[in-house]
Amino acid sequence: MSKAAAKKGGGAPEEIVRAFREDLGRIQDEIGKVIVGQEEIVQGVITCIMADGHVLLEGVPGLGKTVLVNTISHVMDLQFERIQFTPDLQPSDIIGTRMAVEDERGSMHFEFQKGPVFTNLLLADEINRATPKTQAALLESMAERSVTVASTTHRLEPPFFVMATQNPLEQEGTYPLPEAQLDRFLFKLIVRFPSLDELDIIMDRTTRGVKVSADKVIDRERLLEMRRQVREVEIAKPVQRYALRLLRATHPDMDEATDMVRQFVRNGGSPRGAQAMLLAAKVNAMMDGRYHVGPEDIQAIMKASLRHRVILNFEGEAEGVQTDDILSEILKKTSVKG
Amino acid sequence: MDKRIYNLIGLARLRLRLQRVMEGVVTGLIASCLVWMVLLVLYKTHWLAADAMWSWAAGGVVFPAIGLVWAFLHRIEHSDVAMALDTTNGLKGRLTSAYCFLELPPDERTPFMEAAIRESEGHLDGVRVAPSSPFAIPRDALAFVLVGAALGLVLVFRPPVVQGTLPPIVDPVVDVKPAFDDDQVDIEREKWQELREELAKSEDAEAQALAGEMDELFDKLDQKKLDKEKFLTEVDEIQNKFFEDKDDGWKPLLEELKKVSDEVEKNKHTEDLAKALESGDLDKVAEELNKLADKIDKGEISDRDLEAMARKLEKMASKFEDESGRLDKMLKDKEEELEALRKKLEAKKEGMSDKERKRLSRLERDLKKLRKKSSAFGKSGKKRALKRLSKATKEGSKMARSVKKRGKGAAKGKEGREQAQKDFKQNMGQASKELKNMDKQVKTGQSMDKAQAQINDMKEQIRRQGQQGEQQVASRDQFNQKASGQQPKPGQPQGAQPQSGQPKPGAQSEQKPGQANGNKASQKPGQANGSKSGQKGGEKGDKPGSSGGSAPGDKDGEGQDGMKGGQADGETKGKGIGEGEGDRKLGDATGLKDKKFEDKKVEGKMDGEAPVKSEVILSAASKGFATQGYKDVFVEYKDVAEEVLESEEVPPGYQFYVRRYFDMIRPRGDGE
Repeated sequence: MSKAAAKKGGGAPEEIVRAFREDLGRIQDEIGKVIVGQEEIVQGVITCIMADGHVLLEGVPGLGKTVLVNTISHVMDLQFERIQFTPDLQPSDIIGTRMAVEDERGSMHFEFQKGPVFTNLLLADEINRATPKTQAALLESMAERSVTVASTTHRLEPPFFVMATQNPLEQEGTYPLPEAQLDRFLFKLIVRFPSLDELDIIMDRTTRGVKVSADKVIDRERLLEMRRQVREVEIAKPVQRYALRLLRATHPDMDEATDMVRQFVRNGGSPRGAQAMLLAAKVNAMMDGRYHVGPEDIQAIMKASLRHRVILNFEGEAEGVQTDDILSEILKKTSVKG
Repeated sequence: MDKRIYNLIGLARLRLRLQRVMEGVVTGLIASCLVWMVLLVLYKTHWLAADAMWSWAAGGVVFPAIGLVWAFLHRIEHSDVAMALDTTNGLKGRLTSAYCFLELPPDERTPFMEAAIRESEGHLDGVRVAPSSPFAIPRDALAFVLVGAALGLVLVFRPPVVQGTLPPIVDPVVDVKPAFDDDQVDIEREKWQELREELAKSEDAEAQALAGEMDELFDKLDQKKLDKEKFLTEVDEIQNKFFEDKDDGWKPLLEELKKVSDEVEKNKHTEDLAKALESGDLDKVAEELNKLADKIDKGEISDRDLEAMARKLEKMASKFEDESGRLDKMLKDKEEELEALRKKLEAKKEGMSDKERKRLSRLERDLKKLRKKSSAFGKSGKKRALKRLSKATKEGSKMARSVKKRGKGAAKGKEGREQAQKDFKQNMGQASKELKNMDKQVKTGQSMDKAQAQINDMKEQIRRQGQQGEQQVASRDQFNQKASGQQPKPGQPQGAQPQSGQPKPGAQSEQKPGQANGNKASQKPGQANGSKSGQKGGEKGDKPGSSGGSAPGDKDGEGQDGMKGGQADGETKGKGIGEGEGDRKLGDATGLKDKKFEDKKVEGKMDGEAPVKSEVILSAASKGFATQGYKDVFVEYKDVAEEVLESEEVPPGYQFYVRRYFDMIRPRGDGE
């Protein structure tokens, strides 16, 4: 990266990183006022937003996913939309449609009515309940940041961030996301059930009529600037190669593959997975106040980046092998040194 | 700051390298221990000598050295070391990143890189190198201990040793196929012993040396150390050493003396002198000349005889002079011819043609030989001896003439005679001395010639062995045994029994009709049956070229000497030695069809008890009806045979067999 590009971000690196950390800290604080616990999820979601990626949350309903997105949109002063995916949901319900509209003179003409996808933060709730056709409608908007209707392409206003959720329990009447679509998500985060203390706090806040709200911390422009600054974080070659070795280790036919990978994995992560790791690691490094990515950053975001990209084979499925276990083994057995 | 990062990484690298060196050396030591263990086992089980074991054991040191060098040269990446430092010190990749960014040219570094480098500075103080590159016990240490312990056990352990003595080291047996078998060696050695005695009498150093070498040669033959090839090689060496430039000057001298004897033998007073000259006995010549001088002195010779004798002696003297000067003259003539030719050729402008060049070359070669011969002739004393003889005979002639003149002038004649007699005697004394010396040389030369002949004979035998098949060789061996009075050994092939003994029943059983050997000739209708005559026929048939026992029976008219008229009954005698017809075809077939004969096949017997020929002759002599001893008979017969061989055109190959035959039956020891 050239010096000019670095300067484009504005100020000295030390200043940039310091401001970044401060803003991020305040965002987390504000979100923390509303969301009880779930720090990893919050950090993961923020990382995805900063890395210009999308996130797939997997967890049972009622764990505050909608509240989280709503809070983030409020803190970052962004527009928020929510779509509840159902089997009868049509693509036009997401992206919009052309409708006949009568003007002031009484003549009729077609006008494009934007769907809920035209927003900054989109919550695709229970995305696996919609048909693949409808899921595919979201695919273009996630990858291309644009929507094409009747040969007309409509660009989505940045930032555009999709947070999809899926319920791991109810598999009947669902349409599992295809690998290509899964690959569009930067992270897949597993939302764990709150602890007793966290539940206690949640109950206190939600059953006593106490109104908790988060303040706005940054605006849309600042968010876009922070996204650009993230990309200026440097990564040394040995560290980058470490990330790439981890990725290769998820492929059963590679030299770096571990025993579990060879036994239970059908397909490993794509190059997009490596991009996700490096971008997320940069965000992680900046959150840590560093100007470079270290192996620890890679290790921190590795599972979230790859767990939805590693496809188990029949044996793995039958054995009930968890992808996280496989990734843990890869982390353990892959040396940091080249 | 840059330097501190590099120093830290360098220090950690050094520690890592040392650790690896330790690892490499330990691994090498394990390999060495294994090798030493194997060597020790081999040594203790007597598969390896102590010297060899130490040599190999010293070689075992190579392994740790290899391990050390390998470990020291093994590449250690700086970034890996930096990563290890980061990991162990919790620096989150700061050193690694800083090092990598520092490796870039300054103008390629981004602000974030510079910031990362600066940021890492703040963490350098707390960096500890040891945890990132700890000195640890080499991973192969346990294996080394185990292998070392095993080596110690092998060192202490003494395996039971079989106390049997090792088989003696024997020289490899070289399968030498002797050039001659024992019988042949015995025969040749006996011949050589006779010759050796003659050579021993000679004072000639060369003859003595030849005797020594021949003795050595026969010793080797006795010990069967020589195969054919080696034998021929050694024999060639002896020939080259002793016979190549052998002085044969005595031969023309003896020939000349024989010619002179013709001149003097017609006079009764010089008869003995002529005999002495003819016999070539120079010692006797000198004696006879002395006797002649005494006769002249005592007046026992008439004037007429004296005159005749004087003429003879003058002629003899001139002969001696001629012989003495002959070589000189030949030499001079050759030199003149050569010089003339050279001048002629040099005068030619175009140079010499090939033909002329060859002629010149030949002349030069002849001249060289002649000079050599002349020189040898002069050195050997023969020339001097001839001059003495010439002078002595001249003096004898002079004395004879002076005695004849006694009546004309007594005083003068007496003085002249006395003076002539004195001179004659003096010269005769000198000549006698020279002649005696020359006689020794002549005898030595003759002995050496015999030795050469014997060597040639042996070579010829070898050559013929090469031409003969195994059966023929066996046949010859049996022949040798029979000839020497031995019985054939059981199991020896008998079908090829030669004709030396009487035909024996069974000997013919292996032969096809019409392919009889010498004996079988006697078995055909009308031929002698196994009788002496039959033997003779065989012998004669064998003589001229019936190599390998091919028999006269194979040829028409052969071996029929004792069967004239087709009625030979075995008692008829053959013509005798030297009168056979050989294998030449003679006359027509006998036309036996018209006669009332019936074919009768008589089986010969090879293992019969019949005596060999030498036994027959010896026993006959011992019984008393023989008038001559075997030795005399043998010499007589042999002389006749030699005479025939020389006078007739007998092929050399046939001569060989004749001579071999006489060698076989020659008298041995004191046999009469």
